Amino acid sequence: MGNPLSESLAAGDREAFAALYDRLAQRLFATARTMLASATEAEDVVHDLFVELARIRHRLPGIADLDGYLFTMLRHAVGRRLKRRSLGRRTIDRLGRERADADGFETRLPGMPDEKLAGAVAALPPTQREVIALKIDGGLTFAEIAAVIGTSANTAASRYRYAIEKLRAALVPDEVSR
Amino acid sequence: MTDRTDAQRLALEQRLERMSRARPPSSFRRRVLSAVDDMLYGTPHETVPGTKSGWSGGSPSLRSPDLVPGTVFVLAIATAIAVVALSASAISTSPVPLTLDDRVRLTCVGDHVLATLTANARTTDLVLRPRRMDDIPAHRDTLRVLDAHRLLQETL
Repeated sequence: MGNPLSESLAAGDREAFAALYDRLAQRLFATARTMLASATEAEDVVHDLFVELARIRHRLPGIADLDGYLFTMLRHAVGRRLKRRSLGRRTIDRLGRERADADGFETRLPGMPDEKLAGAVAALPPTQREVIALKIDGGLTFAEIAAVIGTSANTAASRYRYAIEKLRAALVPDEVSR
Repeated sequence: MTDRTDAQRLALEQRLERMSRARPPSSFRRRVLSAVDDMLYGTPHETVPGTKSGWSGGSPSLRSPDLVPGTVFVLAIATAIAVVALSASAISTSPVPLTLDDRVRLTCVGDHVLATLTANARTTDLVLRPRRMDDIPAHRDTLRVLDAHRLLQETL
């Protein structure tokens, strides 16, 4: 027997999708934004994730951990985006963002002025950056992160520690606690 | 020394948490749930004139209660002929050098997407296949143009 929310989602209940959005969208968005270092792309990923979720809704009652499932979907979607970038399409995306700025689209979020820290996070290796994103932005435990990325909780915790250490080293000491 | 390191680590985590509080734009919720609705209920949008609102999660159906079966059949044949003709024109047409000022209108034709591009005062119709509407990001006109450009490069 699945959980009631999954059953409602599977039945195509739009209120259930709205409830799921209200519960998780901000965390998913923030996680994707940190992983991708782009608010615009994070919007696209979360948008497409919910649409995909509606498409495959009939499978949801069989999912034991819906939140973990969504974060796993998000991680895969981000992975595909990053792969696309590495295939040389970064220029198109950058031009799109520049044009979006010129057209008045909001690509930089209010309340995110910490560019130095954001830059340091973006410079982390992808495996460490995703753990930071899932822990800080997603609010997941190390056990949940381990399930999402397919590793052990100890490995997830280690990657997190290394990432924090790198960030600390990357920022001027007296700036860390500003 | 260790205390100082721990304090720095803690401060850093707090700073990361502050940074993560930002939310998507207020219009984003409506946009996402509207797209979900389209997927759930198949709201048809036969033409997407390059705006942020109209978008189809799939191909529109030719069936309508007002149409008799013979009409449906004729329309299906006409659509198939149009797709073949447009495909042939796509194959014989060189890629259009798009600029960021170009406009694109996407229209569903069966399982294909017809892209009408207006570039340098010329209008060109191209069929993107086997692309479907929902393969193309929906909610940013500029990115949609760019994605159309990318799809064209892949298709031609």
